[in-house]
Amino acid sequence: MSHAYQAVQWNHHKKVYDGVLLLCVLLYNAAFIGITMATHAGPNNLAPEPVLLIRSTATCAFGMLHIILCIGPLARLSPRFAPLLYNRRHFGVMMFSVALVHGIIALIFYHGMGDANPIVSLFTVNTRYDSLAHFPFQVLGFGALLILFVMAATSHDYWLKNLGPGVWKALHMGVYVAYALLVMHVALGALQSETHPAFVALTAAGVVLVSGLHLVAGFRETGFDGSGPDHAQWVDAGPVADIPQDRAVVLPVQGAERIAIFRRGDTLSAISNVCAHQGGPLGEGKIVDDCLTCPWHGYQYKVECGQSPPPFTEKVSTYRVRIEDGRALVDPSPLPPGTPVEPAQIPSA
Amino acid sequence: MKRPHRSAHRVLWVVLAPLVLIGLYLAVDARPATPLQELPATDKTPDTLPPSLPANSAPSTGEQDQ
Repeated sequence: MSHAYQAVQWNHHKKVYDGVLLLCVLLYNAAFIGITMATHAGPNNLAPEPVLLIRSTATCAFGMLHIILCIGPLARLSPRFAPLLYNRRHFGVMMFSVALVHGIIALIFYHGMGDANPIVSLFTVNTRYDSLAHFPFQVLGFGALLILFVMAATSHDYWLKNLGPGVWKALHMGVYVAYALLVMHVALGALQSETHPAFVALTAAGVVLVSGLHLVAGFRETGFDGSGPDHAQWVDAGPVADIPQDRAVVLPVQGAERIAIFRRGDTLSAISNVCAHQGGPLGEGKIVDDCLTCPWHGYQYKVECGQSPPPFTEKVSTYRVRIEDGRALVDPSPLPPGTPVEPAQIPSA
Repeated sequence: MKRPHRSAHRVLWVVLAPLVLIGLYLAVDARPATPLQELPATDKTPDTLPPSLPANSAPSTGEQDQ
């Protein structure tokens, strides 16, 4: 967490994850090249080795990007997918690395054997921006790679801490622009020569899947926000009996952030639903070792004060809560982050 | 996520999703009727090569795949 900067916060789990991911990437590329060589044998059919590598890394990185972009909305639609968020940044950096290999090999193979600087050649050899069929699609891929580079370079918690979660999140929404550029890179590049309908169908299915998941999750979230009561002195959060032990119910409030009301033993406490780390939904977490644990990256807080246990320093807002006629009532005005609040005692039945 | 980010996220995809799909449709629609690699070998003169292949590139494979 935050008490001290560490160059790379790898634990055993992350090392295993990265190892397995790297193995999958290598196996995919080996299988792609092997199958292509086996099925396109003959001097006139088989593309040169660098082209095979360009294709295998391209499809690998593009597929990985689709998986990465599906994780976020899937986690919003079902908590079962939330564990996938834990290592999503490692997945993203691995995807960038594969895309970088693709970009470098393509740049050298198609632009590196002449007199011109390969980067200059990339931008000057084709300027048919007025033609879809002959559009300089490589420029789109280069632009996407630059965006992905910025994201990979700032993916560490060091940058998250220094930029702040808001700026960092906004910066990393650039992945959607990179995705749009890459779809057009594929559509104006590979799909111009690969005319089999399966390639078009696969690309279109990927776009529909990613954008559809984001739209469904987005509208569902907005609908939940809009379903909450107006900001009043005390807001009814429902029957206390509906709050599971060591878990929370999430209360949307019009024009304000969501509130998570936790039950711990015979007490209720209310804190902000937004984790101070990356804005994870605290109300979907559970109390582990006396601390509420964020379902996204495991950041922990004491529910009665909204503070992370020492030596960590994260704080979230707390709320006053009381119980009346078996129902939980919350004052939706947030108290300053880290303010201790006396938990409400649940009367014994 | 905080409420403003949720809204920005939703608005971005409402704009981006149709744009990408339209772009994909137009790109596929603009494909030449006969792909380059299906042309007879004698037609693969420099004039018929797509301009997106750089002049100083490696020997052409007859494709513009990258």
